[in-house]
Amino acid sequence: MLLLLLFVSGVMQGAPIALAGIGFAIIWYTTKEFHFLYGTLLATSGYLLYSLNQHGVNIWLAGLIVIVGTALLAAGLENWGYIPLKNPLSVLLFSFGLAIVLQNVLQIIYGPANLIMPANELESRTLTVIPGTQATAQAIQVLALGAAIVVSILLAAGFKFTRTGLAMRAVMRDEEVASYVGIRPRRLRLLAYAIGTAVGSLGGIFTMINVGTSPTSGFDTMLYAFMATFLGAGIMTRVPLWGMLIGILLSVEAWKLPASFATLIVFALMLFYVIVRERFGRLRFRRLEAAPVAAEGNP
Amino acid sequence: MPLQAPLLEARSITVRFGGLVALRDASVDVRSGTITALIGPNGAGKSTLLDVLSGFRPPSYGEVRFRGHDLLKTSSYKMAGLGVARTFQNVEVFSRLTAAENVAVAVPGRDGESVSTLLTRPRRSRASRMHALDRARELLEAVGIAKYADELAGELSYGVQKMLVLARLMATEAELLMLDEPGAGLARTSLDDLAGHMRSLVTESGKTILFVDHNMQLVLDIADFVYVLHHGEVIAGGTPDEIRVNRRVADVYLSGETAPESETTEADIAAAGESATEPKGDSGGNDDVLDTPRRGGLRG
Amino acid sequence: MSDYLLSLVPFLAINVLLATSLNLLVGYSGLMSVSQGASMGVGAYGAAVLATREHLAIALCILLAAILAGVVGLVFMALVAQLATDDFILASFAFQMCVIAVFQQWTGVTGGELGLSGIPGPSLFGMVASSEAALALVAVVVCGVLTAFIIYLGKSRYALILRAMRESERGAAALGKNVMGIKLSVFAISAAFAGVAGGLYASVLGIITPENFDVTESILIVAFLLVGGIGNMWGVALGAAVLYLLPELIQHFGVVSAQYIGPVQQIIYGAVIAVFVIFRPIGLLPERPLLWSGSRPKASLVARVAAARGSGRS
Repeated sequence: MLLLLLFVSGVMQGAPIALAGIGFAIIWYTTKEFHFLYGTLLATSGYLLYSLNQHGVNIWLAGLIVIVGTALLAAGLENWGYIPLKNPLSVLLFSFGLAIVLQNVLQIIYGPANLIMPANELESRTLTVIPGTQATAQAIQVLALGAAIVVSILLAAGFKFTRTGLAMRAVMRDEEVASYVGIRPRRLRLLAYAIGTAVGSLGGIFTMINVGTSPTSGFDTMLYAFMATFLGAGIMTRVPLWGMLIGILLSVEAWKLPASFATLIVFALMLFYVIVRERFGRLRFRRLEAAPVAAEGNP
Repeated sequence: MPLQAPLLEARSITVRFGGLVALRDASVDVRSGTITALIGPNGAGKSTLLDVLSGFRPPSYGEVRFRGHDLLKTSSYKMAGLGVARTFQNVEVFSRLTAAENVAVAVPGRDGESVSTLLTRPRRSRASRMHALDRARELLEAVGIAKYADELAGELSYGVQKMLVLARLMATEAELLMLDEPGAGLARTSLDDLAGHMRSLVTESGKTILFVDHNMQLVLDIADFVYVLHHGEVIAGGTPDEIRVNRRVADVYLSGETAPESETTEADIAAAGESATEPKGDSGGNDDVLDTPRRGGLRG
Repeated sequence: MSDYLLSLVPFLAINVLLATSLNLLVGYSGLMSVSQGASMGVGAYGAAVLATREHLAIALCILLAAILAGVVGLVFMALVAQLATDDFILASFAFQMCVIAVFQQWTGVTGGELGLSGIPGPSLFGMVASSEAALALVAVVVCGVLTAFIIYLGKSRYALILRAMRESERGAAALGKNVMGIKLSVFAISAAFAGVAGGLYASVLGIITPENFDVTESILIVAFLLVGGIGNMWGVALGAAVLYLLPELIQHFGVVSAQYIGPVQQIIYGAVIAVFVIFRPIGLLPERPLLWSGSRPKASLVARVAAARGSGRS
C-alpha cells in the first residue's frame, strides 16, 4: 500500500522531469549543444507566469504567452547567438555565462527564496488518482502527467509521420548527410530549440503552480533532464520514460537516501558507459557522431 | 653487396577487418642501405602494410622483425627510439606549432621531456632544448625551407609541409625511414628535390628507406627494390628493371588504375604483350608498359 | 580597507594556481576537461579530513591530499585516455558529478551536504597564520612557488611535446612520444596542483561544503582560461585575476545595496564570460610559440600567431 502511494507520488514528481527531459533531449539530439540556459529558462517560465498572473492575466492565457515567448526567445538565441559561434564548447561557455546572468537577474527581481503562486484551484484541488485507494494527487500534478503523456505521444507521432519529423530525425542522425539530401539543418535546429523550450516551459509552469520556483531550481531540473537525455541514448521515446523513472527514484530516495545517490549512480553509469562504448566501438548514444571511423585512404 | 640478414623482415602479414581481407600473406624484406618501394593500384594494401610495419596497425597474423627485434611486440611510440620512423599520407604536421618547433619535437633527447628530469636536471634540460632548436634549424636548412622556420606549420603550402615532415623524420635519427606517399601532390621540381633528398639520405647519411607511392617515375628512378601489391597480396618483388618486364604486373596495371604520371599509349600496351616474352634484362625501354616517355627525367 | 584587500589575496593566489594548472591540461595538451573543481575538492576534503580527524600538521595534510588528488586523477585518466574529445569532456563531467555526489553522500567522513568545519588555518612548525596579512603571505608563497613551477614547465620541451600531442597524436607517437604516458602525467599533475589549491582553500576558509567544488566551479576555472587566453600561462593568470577581482572590487566600491551584492557579482562573471566568448574567444593573451629560430622578428610572429589562432578558434 505504501509502495503504491510512493509510486503514485513518484510518477507525479516525474512528470515535470519527463517534460524537461523531452525538451532538453530534442535540443541535444538535434544540435549536440549543451544549452546551459535551458534550466534557467524553465525557472524563468515559472516566474513570468507568476508576474503575468499578478497583473491579472488569465492563467491559461498567461501560460500560453510564456510558452510561446520562451520558445521564440530560445530560437532567436540559437539563430543569432549560438550558430555563429560554430563550436559546441563555445556554446556551452556562452550559455553558461548567460545562465549565470539570467539566474541572478531573477534573484534580484524576485528574491532568492522559493516563490509560490497564490492559491488557485489547480493547485488546491485534490483528485483521487486510483479510485478506492488513498492515492491522491493535486489537480495540477495530474494535469502535468496528462500533459507529459500527450506531448510524448504527439512527438512520437510527429517524428514518425510528418515530413518535418522525419527530417529532424535525419538531422539527429547525421547533420551533414541530411544537408546533402536537401534538408536544411539550420531551420530544424531552430525548430528544435523552439519545441524543446516550449515543452520545457510547460514543465516549468507546472512546477511553478505546484511547488513554486526559485532562481536555482532550473539548474537541478536541467541536470535530471540531462540524465534522462543521456539514458535515452538517442531514442526520443525513451527519454520521458527515463524522466519518470528518475522522478520515482527521487521520491523513493527521499525516504531512504538523498538525491545525490541517484546522481552518483547515474553519472557513474554514464562514465562507465562512455568508457565501455569506446572500447567496443559501438555508437549508440549520439548517432550523429560526425567523425567517420578512420577509413583506409589508399590501402 | 654481401648477403646479410635484411634490416627489416616481414613474413606472412595478414590483415582482416570483419569480412574484408586487406592483406594476405604478404612478405617483404628491406635491406640496409637501400631504397625499397611498395607499389600497386588503389586498394592494393600498400598503406596497410606500411601501417603494420611501422607499428600502427596490428596484423591478424604474421611476423615483423627489425634487426631481430620482434616489432609486433613494440608499441608504436617506441619505434622511433628503436630506429624506425615514418611519415603519414595526410602529412600530420603540428599545425599550430612553428616549422622549427615541429622539427625540434622530433630531436631525441631525454632531458627536459619529462617532469622528473625538469626537476632534477634543469640545466641539462635547457641545454637539450637549445640543442633541439639548433638541430631543427640545421635540418630545415638541409631540406631548403629554412626561411619558414618561424612560420606556423599549418599555414605553409603543401609542398613545404612535405619537406617539413621529411626534416622532422630526419630529426628522429632513425635508421629505417618509412614514407607514406611522399610524392603525392608534388609538382615536378619538388619531386626532383624529394628524390634527391631521399637518395642522399641513403648514400650520404647511411639511412634505409621504405616508401609507398603511386608515382611511377619516382619509384623507378630511385628505388633499388620494388614490391608490387595487388588485392592485398605481394605479386612481385624485384629490381625496377625486373618489375618493368614482369607480365603479371603488366596485367594488374592494365586492369586497375594507372599511376597519374604514367602515360601508357596503345602502342605500349600492344608491345607489352610481346616484350613480356623477351629474355629478362633487355631494357630496350620504349616497349615497356611501365615506361613513360622521358622528358628530362628526374635526374635532369 | 587594507584588511579587505588582503583578504582577497589568498583567493586570488588560489585561483591563479587553479587556472595555470588547468592550462597545462586544456591549453597545452588540448584535453578539455570540466573536472578541475572535483580535483580541487579531493584536495580540500582530503586535507580537511586528515586535519580534523588525524590531527596531522595542516601542511602535511595538504601535501597528502594533493597526492591523493593526483592519484585519483591518474586513475580516472587511465580509464578514459583513449576517448575522443567530445566523449572525454562528457567523461570529465561525469567524473566531476560523481566526486561531488560522493562528498554529499559519504556523510560519515565528509559531513555530507553540511560539509566540514573547524579546519585548522595554515601553520608551519607551530606558527599559525592568523592575521589577514599572514594568510595572504602564506597563500602567495605557496601558490607562487607552484605557479612558478608550472610556468617553468610551460616553457620546457615537455610543454612542446604536450602541444605536439594536441595537434596530432599519431604524429607525436610516430616521433617517439609516449602519448598515453604523457596524458597520464599531465592530468595527474594538473589534478595534484588543483588539490593543493583545494587544501589551501579549506585551510584558509576553515569551512567547506560540496558546492564549493561543483561543476559550476569547474566551468568557472575554464572561464579563467577563456578570458585570459588559453595556452598562455600569464594570460590565464590574468584571466583568473580579472574574473575574480573585477566583481569583488566593483561590488565593494560600487553603489550596490547589500542584498544585491552576491547577484551583482555573479552577473558580472556571467556577462564577462559571455562577452568574451563572442568577441574575444582567444582571450586576452594569445598562445606564444616556445621556440624562435630568429628568422623573423618576434613581434610580428606573435601577431601572426594570434591571428592564426583567432581564426582557428571559434
